[in-house]
Amino acid sequence: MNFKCGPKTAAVLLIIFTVSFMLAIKAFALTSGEITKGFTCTCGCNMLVSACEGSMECTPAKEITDQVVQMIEAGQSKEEIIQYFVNTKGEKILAAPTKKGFNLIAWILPFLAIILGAGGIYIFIDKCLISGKDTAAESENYNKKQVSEGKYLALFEKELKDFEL
Amino acid sequence: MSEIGLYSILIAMFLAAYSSFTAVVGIKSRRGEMIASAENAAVAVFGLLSLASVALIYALITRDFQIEYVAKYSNRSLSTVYTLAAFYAGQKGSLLFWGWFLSLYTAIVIFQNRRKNRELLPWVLAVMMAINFFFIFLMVFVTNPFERLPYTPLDGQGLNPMLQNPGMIFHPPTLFLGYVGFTVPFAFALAALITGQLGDDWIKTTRKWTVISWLFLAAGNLLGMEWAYVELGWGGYWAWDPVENASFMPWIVGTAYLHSVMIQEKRDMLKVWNMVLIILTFLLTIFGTFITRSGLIASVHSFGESSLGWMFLVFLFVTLIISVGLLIYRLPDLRSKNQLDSLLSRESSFLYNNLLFVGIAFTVFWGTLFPIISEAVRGVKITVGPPFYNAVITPIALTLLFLMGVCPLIAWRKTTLKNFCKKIFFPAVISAAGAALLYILQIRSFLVLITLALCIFVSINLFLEFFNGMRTRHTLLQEGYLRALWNLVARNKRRYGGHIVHFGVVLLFVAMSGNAFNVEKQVTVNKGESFKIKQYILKYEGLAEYPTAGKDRVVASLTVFNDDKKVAVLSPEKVLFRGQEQPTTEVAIHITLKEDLYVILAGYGKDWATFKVLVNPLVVWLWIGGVIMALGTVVVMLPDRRKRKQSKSEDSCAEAT
Repeated sequence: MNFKCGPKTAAVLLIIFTVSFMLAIKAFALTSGEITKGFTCTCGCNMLVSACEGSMECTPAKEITDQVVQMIEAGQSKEEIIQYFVNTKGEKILAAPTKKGFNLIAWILPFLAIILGAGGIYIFIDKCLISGKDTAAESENYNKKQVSEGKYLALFEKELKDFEL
Repeated sequence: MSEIGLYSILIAMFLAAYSSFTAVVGIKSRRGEMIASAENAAVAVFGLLSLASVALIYALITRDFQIEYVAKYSNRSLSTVYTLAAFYAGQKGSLLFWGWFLSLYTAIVIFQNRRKNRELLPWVLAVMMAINFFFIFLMVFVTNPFERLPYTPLDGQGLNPMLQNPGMIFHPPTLFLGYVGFTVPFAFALAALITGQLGDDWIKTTRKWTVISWLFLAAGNLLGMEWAYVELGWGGYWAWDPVENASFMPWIVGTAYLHSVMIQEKRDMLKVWNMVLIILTFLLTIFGTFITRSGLIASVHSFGESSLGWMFLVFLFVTLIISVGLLIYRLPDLRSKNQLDSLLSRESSFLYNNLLFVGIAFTVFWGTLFPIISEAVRGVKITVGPPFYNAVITPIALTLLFLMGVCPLIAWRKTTLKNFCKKIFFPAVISAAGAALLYILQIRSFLVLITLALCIFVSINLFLEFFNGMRTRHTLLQEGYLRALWNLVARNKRRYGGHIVHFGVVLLFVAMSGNAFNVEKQVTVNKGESFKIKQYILKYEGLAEYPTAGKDRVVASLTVFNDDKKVAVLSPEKVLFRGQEQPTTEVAIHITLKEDLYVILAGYGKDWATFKVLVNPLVVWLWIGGVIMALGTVVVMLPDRRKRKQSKSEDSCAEAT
């Protein structure tokens, strides 16, 4: 199939497509599940509260869920509820590290490692491309040498022939 | 019988040490009979560990409760199937199982290489038997599976109810086969480093081992997901638990290795990187075992706290030091003539995908260890769970998915940007149109739209790979379309098998995108009452109790209507096993290609019952994707008739001369 499209057109199309869908992100109403999916159960199972409650008949998980429901009904915001549980049960209740202070390292390091890795790959490829050019130059010299050697070899063979004659 | 088992592992330990030592001495002194003796000893270790395994299984079947392991993991009411599965359910048994697999693999490696790789084999043997010595040493001195109690209990404690699921029969063995399998390429890599035979012979020899191990690890993870989905009863299949992470990390690094090794075979590049990857894969299997057995990190799957984990940590460090030491020693010899023609080439794209694979593995490793680091630095215990992994890994995984679609479009050596854009245009437009259609169909999650658009993009590219190849054969060779497709795949199994695996991966992404649309509801209903979730109406018909020797089952019955049409009768259960205080949940699932209706019996009374009901879209595609991945891997593994004929004729020529 022949499509007339330059790289710029393709890139612009993809960017427009991506941005238009980014704008479509929708906010959801607050539910107890939304909050308990961010909490780790305190029973020691290491599962999310929402998961542990369903699978293990877990009392701590049920207590947390009931309390969250009550707090939502009392009109408390998500942030207030989360802060209350962090204050009473410790930071361990959060299923993910907070994005501040020392915990920020947890979030940043994976991306930093990938960026550094990408830099390393760029340097590696760049080096390989340079050595590729060297090899190309070497290969050109070798070809020239082959040609000149071939020329002398042909002359030599011609002389041998003449000598025999 | 248990004495036979005990003495078997004791003799096996000495023979493993003897085999490893004699192999080294044999190759150093160039004495063939010593190497042969080392090989025989390794085969004997396999025989002895087989005997020990049979002894433990016999003890389990005959309910020899004086053996501590039997008393802890079985009881009189345990069915035969789960009694057999109890062999690897506990720490001690699983170590014996691991050791047995390793000895089996060693015996197969010896058999396969009896006429080839004779320089490498003694070192391979030395490494594999040294590793097995470590495992058997643990069995003898730390976690003896044949340890006896001072008394004989009347009955055992029984197997953990959650382990009494068909998943228990298949999940651990497949995972172990994967874990242990990576020992083979690792041993060959070390042997290559020791001997200095750093060409791609060791890679070609171990290619099938790597692919098989990768497949088993993939299958092990998927079976674990399936088990979690049907047994744990929370409606999900992956919780980013440290132990799940432990099996995921070697798989993802092994995947990177499987890709990068192609560059070494095709272009004689990345020798150091491939060594690093295979060493890392093996070390991650040991790291996973350390996590599972140390009790250092809390997990629902772990074997509990024990000193065994720390021994694995020591073993991990020793292996790391030896491997890195050898790698540094051979670094000058491993340097290859790295030549890349362009930033936009198949080779470069493999480097990018390696970066992302290793990036994912690093994220999981970092997330698994961060709670310990946080506690050490701040003195505060924190949790790193699903919200962290989902947020960090999703963008990396989606980039990887994009690369998976792009890779087939990029030629080896060099592709011009113009040519690349030309190739990418049609699939990109179709996938954008597909996403727009999904948007019109009320799918408004940005992540889901991006994921599905990329899935369409990759699928189209994979389809075009098959279609263009088939059409070319049809045009040039006048083959019928089906014959052309068959020959296309048959003549390049590795390439097209890989494409099939990639299509399986696409389906995994499709299935995972369904998570965004899970609907959940908890209701309490009286007998005869109905409730609705999405388009389903569920009518509660009542409860029935089934007391048996080993457990009491309470089964609820629900008739399911989909838009007024009866589609299923579901029976979620509560099961109380003898000797257990907490009942376990047996979920009931109505599976369709579109979604799963997942019902949990959360509570019950005389005439009422509480149900937690979930509608999980697209889950079945996870299992279908897994099967397709396995099929693709089988295609990759199929023997090449042309190569076999070629090697046969080479053999006959060699014999004639």
